[in-house]
Amino acid sequence: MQHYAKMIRVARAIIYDEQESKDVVSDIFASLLHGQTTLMPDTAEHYLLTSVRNQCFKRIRHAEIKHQMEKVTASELVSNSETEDERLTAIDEFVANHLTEQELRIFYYRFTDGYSYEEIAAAEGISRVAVWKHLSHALNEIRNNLKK
Amino acid sequence: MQTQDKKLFLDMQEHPENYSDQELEAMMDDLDHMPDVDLAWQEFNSQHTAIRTSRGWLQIAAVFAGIILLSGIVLAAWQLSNKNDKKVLSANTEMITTHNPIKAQDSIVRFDNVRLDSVLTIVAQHYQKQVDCRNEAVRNLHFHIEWNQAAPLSDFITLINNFEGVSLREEQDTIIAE
Repeated sequence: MQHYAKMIRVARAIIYDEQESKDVVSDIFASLLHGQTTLMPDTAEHYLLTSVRNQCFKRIRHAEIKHQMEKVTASELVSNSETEDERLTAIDEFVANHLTEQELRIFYYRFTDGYSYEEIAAAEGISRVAVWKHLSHALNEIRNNLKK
Repeated sequence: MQTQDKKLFLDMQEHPENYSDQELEAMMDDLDHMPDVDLAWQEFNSQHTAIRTSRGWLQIAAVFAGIILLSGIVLAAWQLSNKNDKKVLSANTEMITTHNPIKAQDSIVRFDNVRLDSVLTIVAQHYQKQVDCRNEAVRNLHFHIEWNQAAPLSDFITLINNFEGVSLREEQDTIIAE
């Protein structure tokens, strides 16, 4: 399957909106176009999908900041955005500490390997609905963490 | 409609217990539907004409086509060929796997059912040319061809022009496809 298709699929599983998902992927392409990143054969797909995941969480975080900062000064907003990357970096650690082993596997199947719900269900020997519920719990935990 | 759908999506995530299995299944079907990659590529292609020769652009072309592994090979081969006076090392073929649509061995690159615009991107990069694809139908043609990187560009153009319905020519620093 094309990497582009997987990238869109991962983005939509987090932020749903199709146009916003395309924007996320475009941002990653822009960094490839103008940056010095060279995709290595062995890690390219994981790099791309992890970038999508992080960009999506960053957007969620942005939305939260915007919501919370409506009544504070611009300088406070800048100060907050400076710590954003650090917060993003901590997501993997948070996920590892707050999800069950199975949820963690499913999380990485979906958001690092780009598996479909069907593929995850087959890999885990559970129903697609069960996969949805595991991922829902994982994403809810992350969303709550991003609000802090 | 989209906003309502997103609200539904978020609510299904937050409270999956409030929805039937069928509703969740339908949402999953929606989320897993495949985007139109060809259309997305055309959009991207038309929006970034000025920087087509950059290595970043080639990487993105490979992302759309699902040939990152191969673009790595071709990029490596291209870089080596520039450094070593067109000598391409066959060691690069170690990275090739059997399902790849593009295979490189020595100076020969085989394109297996690859869209012409993807082929041209890689070939043009090698000869340090730009691509101007003026015919949408031609852009979407798929080719099974072998390209000898050590041969001059004119040989490749002659090869492609043997096919009906496509015309390539070189004008200054651009390969024009019609």
